[in-house]
Amino acid sequence: MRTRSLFTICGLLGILLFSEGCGKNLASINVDPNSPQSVENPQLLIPSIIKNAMRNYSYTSEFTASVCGDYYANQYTSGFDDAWTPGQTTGNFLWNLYEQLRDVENLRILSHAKGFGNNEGVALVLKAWMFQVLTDNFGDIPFSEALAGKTAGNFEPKFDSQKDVYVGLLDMLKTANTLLSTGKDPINSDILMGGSALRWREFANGLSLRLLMRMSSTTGSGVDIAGEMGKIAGDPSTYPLFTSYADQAALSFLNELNNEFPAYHNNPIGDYHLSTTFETNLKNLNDPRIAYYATRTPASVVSGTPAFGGVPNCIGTSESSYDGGTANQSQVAPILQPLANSAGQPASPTAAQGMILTYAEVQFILAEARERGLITVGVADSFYYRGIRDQFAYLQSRLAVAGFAYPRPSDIAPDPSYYQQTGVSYTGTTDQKLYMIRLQKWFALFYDGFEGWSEWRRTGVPKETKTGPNSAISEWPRRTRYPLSEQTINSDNYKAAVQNMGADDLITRVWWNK
Amino acid sequence: MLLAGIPSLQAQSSGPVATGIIRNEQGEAVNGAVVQVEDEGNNKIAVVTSNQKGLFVFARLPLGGPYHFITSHVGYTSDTLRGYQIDANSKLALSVILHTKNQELGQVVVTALGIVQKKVSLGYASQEVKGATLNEARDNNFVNSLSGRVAGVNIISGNGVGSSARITIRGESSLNYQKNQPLIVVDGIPVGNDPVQNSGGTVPDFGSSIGEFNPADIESVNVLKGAAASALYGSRAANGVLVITTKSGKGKRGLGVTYTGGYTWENPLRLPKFQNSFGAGTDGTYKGSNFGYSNGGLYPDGIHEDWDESWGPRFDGSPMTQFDGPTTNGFRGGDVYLPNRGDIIATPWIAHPNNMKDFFVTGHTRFNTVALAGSNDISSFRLAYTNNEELGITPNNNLTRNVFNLKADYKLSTNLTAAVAANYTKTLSSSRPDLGYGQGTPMYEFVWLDRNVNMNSLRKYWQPGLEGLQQFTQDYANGHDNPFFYAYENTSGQNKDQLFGNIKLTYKILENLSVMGRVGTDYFNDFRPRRMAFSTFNYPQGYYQELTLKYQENNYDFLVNYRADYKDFHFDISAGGNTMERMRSSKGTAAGQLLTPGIYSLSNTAVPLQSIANSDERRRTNSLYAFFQMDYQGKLFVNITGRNDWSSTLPAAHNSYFYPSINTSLLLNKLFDMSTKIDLLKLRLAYAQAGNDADPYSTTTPYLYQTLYGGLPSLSESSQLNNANIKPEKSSTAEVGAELQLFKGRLGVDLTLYSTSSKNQILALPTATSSGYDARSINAGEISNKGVEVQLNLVPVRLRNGFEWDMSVNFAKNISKIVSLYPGVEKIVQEAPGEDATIEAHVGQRMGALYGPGFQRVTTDKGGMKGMIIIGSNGRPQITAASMYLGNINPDWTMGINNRWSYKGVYLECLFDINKGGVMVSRFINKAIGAGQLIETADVRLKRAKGQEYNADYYRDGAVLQPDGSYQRNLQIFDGTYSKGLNGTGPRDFYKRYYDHNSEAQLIDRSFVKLRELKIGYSIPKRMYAAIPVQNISFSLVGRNLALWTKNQHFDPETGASTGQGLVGGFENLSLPTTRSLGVNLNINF
Repeated sequence: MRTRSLFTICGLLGILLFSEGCGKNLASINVDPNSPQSVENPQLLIPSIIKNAMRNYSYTSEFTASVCGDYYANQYTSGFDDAWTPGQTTGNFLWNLYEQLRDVENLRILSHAKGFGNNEGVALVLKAWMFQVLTDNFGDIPFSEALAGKTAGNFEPKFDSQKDVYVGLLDMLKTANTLLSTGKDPINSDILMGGSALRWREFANGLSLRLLMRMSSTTGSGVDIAGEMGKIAGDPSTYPLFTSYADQAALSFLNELNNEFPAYHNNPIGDYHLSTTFETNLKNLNDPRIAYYATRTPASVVSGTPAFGGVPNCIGTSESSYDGGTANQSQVAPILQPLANSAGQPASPTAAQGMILTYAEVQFILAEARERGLITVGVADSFYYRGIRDQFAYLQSRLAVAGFAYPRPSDIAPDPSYYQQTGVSYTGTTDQKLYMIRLQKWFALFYDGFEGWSEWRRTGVPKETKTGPNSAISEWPRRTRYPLSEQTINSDNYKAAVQNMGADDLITRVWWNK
Repeated sequence: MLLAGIPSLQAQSSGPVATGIIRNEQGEAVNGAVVQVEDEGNNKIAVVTSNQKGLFVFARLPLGGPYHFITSHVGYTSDTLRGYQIDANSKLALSVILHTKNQELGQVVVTALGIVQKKVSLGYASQEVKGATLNEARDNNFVNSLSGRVAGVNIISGNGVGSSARITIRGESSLNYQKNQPLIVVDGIPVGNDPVQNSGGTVPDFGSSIGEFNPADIESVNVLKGAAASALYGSRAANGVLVITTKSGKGKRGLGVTYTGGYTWENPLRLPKFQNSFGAGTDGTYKGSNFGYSNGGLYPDGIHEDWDESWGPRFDGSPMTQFDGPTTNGFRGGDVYLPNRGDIIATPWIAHPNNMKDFFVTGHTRFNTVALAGSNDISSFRLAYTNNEELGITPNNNLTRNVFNLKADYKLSTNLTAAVAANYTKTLSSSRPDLGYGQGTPMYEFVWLDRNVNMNSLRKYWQPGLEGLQQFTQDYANGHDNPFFYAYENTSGQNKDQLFGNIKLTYKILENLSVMGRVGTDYFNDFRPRRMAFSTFNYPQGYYQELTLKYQENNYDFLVNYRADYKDFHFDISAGGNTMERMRSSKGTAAGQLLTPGIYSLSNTAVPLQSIANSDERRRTNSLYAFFQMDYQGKLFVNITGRNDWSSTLPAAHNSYFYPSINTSLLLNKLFDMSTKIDLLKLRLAYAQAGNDADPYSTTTPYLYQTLYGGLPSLSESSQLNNANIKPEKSSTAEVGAELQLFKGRLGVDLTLYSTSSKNQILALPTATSSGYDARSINAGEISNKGVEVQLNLVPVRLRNGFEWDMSVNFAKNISKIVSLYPGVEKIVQEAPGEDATIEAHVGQRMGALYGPGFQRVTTDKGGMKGMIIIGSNGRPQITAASMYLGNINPDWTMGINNRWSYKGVYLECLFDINKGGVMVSRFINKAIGAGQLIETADVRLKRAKGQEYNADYYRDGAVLQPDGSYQRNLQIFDGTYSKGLNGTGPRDFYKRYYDHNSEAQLIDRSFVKLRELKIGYSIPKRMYAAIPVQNISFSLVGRNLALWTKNQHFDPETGASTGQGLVGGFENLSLPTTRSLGVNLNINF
């Protein structure tokens, strides 16, 4: 009996002692060995922000946006039904830029805390650009309360009106321009602008011009649009602008797995063809860039004389038999061809760049502003011709990178007569001139996200963009629909936004497009 | 079962004719067993009874025979030794092992922590399946064999050799869909059933560790169903436990050798039904000028010859230019990379009805197990070796397993016993098929395999002269991979070493006080090379990756046990502790493009190597537990347990959690005076709680490393915001049950009712992306599971001549409901493995609710068209933008019915598995209808004259909205041709736009009846091989999943979707067909 009690006591003591130690030292096991929990150097965030944003942006530029912009035709998406249905996934119309905005916000907060003015400026420029894309596609968006899940515990941010977003973005870009002109911190790991604060300022100011031009027919924002544009156009030392394509905002992709241009590893993409709208406008001007924008038709490859064939959007399955079938139809640009299509020649992983804001676009904005009297500095013709010439030079430089047997840079070089022909030569009425500026700008906005489509929404150029028999909606889309996740999770704010803006469909017009 | 019955070789002049010893499975002598000798005509010759030592003696028997020795005892299955001839010199020494009869009184079961308890003492539901059952109708993943055998257990199996199986017991109680599987414990050591997959994309199912366990080594599987049964196992057992006991050498005097072997053939159970009237093309056209590769290739195409859908012309045998047609230069039409291919010579335009079937091969399994077993007074020992070779039903899918299994114990001294159990498995596989929706998976390619494609033409899958460089495809290299090319060249191999086992020391301090210490491990190292050949569409320059997965779980535990008696009470008190450590790691490297075709080495890379799937994970749980058992006169039992866990994955402030359980068993037939016809009337009551911790590293939000960009490192914050204040999950179960046994075990009923509530669930709550995060981790939600389980055992016929009909039925119904989620949150999307449909948890609804877009319907009564689908101006049904409730993926109830007829060493057994209710969606059906391949799509086309099928529109029945707001019927003539109406479409849109992105149209009833198992067995009478030193030979013919009755004609509704994280039910996402198998097994005891 005594031994028994002894054992019991020992056992209980043992258990007590053991339990004392049970909970200890466990926390040290739960330290994640795979990833850091905080970032000390904010610049470590920059490459992935830019790369992840640009891969998705450029991917969308080639597919969804190219149909919106009427550059390419696709029988499946131009019915404006399936692919335009709000899905759980948010990538089709770039709602997932909020994913990169999370890191942009981290970059901004960290840089601000450390007094890194240049890096904070970079964060603000990127933030402004991403919000501009979001609001142009969707209209009202979460802006002032967005991205505050971690910092303020706000998981259901309210939507701001597009007008308020635009006003906020202009302020943001001004702040960025100032920060970047005084900052002393280096911008390392900058895969977009090579660490040049000046180029980031040029980007910021060009972006301001883009925003102001979009706003140019609106009222009630409280922004002096002409005044602001004039300030930027007239004071290059305070508001530097791009000087050629060499310093524009375009990301170079790399010949590394998953860092190539984003569709490089895609399946063959037989579903996308040159649209008749793009074809018609290029052929009207005998524009040699058609060889850049689309492949030769298979039939013409056999016959040896390059020919290009377009297909109209919104005609459904009859697309595949249009104009005698796919043999007579041009596919997406040679530089956008995936590796798997490369039977004729090697695809280029790096020829296509992720374009955000080009010198040409800025020049066309200035030309239009000058032509409309929004600014008084400079000459409209010069802006206009500089835009066209630089665009040709830029595209030729990309073909030089590609090194294709066809098209070579010389294949898209314009004959001097190009500039003298009607439709290009800067003559005629103001309306005719504006049409020419806007058409050249639409050409230049190819593969630049939804910008070409946004400009069509604003200007109606090209005039050929119209729905066809297969369209599920009565007119060409004017916006895109909020993703399902936002509708269901952030539903109260979503409903308020719809109340404010109009129905969440494809034809409600956004504020600057009313 | 016969173990030893060695006729003596020497004639003896005197002494008894036959003697024998009767033991039970534990090796204990069975007293009072009746041994009866009968002749062939079932005439009783003699009867004796065994003594305390289990000994029985027949002093004399009439000469002649053959005689059968029938041994019976209450509580045991009777056993018959057959076919002994008695002559003047006979001197038989017999050995009988009696097996405890299921559901009967003496049965003992292995419960939590390996504690052996009498079944009558348990206050909760558990159900046992014998190893013999699993091994007879053998499935290479033995988990599948539990289907239909245990009430409340649901299995979804992956398809393809070596694939995983998802187990749930009593439905789902966690909002995290992949956290609903039970804990699996082998000889006291947890073994994983989490499928460890390569992440992302269309990856194969690599199975799970427990699925590799050899059924021939299993003695029994005891299914502990609720938290009450499993409270002692701690947080991991909240979903129940499978307690697996391996075979040992106990009770086998001397050395016994057993051989078991078998051969099984396997083929698809159900394949989709295709139309065979129309071939490739679009709008009825399939014609080209210069068939070839359209995207800038050597032979630009004409019109529609690369079309991968069967909306082309009707088959009429007329000459047509085709991919496998010969060319004027002796090549094939599809050899488009040859500059001198030549012109294609037209071949007849005919259907190839079996083109999908032709891809599959007959699967084969061959297994051989040899086991040595024996025991003496101080030790027992069993060593088994199994070789298992499998060939899957897809080409180049093989798997070899070599398994060594050891179990031994040794009494080192009178007080100290050492025991060891170990299982080593080597798995080698050349390749497993990719699964899911994407380039290269077999089912994906079959969606777009036109009806005119002859599968056999694709077997020579290289273009001549371009071997290793360029595949030959059915679509002139326009975007599809040749299925044979993909199967043979793009392989996902596996080389896995797995070891699990434990070492145990038990020291008896006093007669009634013992202490046990145990160390166990479950370890694997899994090497998975993945190859992609040149010309693979997604990897034209080839690809190679090497992935190594490592896993180790170590358990250290001790248990002190003290037994005492006080008057009519017996007490059993134990206390113990456990430390569990688990480590996982994944390391991979990929060569994104290869330099030289056909060389799969990381050195052969054309681009910088990339590291993939690098992660390490570690966790530890410390536990202390105690349990108390009280037994009053063998009539009333009370069990109380308590356990406290400290988990490393929870924040320090909440890392300790305690949970108790109590259960009681009342033997009413003993407590009260009852009719002698009642063998047992038992009442069970149980209540238990269980806690659960989080995944490692879920209290902080990491910044994740991104792919280097030009050598620049980069980080991006995780899109899921973690929570530093996460608390443990808690579930509580109340259970009540009753068991009744009547007429000497000929009728038994077991009924269980349970109610479980799971609270504080740790889950990733989806948040609006605009907040910067897609999800945040929270404690929320309450799930209630309520259900009923019924088991019925019946012996309708038991004849004196030995004929017996045994029947067992089990039935289960479970309803899991979401009581609450999180303030302001009405639903959570749990899984979305397919296109549009999702499994969602909505407050107030059942778990497993399927949501997706459906038809827009007329909601107004006006015009009498309420409920009709609305047809738009483009002739298509209008589909809702938002998801709607479509049904529940879980069955309303399940039932298994097993019948066994046995007579003199012959038996026939069949098991039916019945699932009632439940729905699912199929992506294959949806896509293959849209592509004009399935039989449905020929229907309306065949109603029109040849050549006219595509000329005029087809009209769906439904309602068309008129400008004045009224509705008009779209279809105007109901003659089945759909040829007149308001808004029409071509045939492709007629079907595709009805099904595509319309989950409601894709809905399928999951109800089914399956002939799960059919077995015929025969023990060859001993007299037929009396001369050789063999004790017993038996063989059986077994079939699994031989027949299926279900509504949908295209596939088996048990198919699940493989997501990379695990299997998901309710979805078919380009999964391989399930299989039926037929095999023979041979069992020899030496």
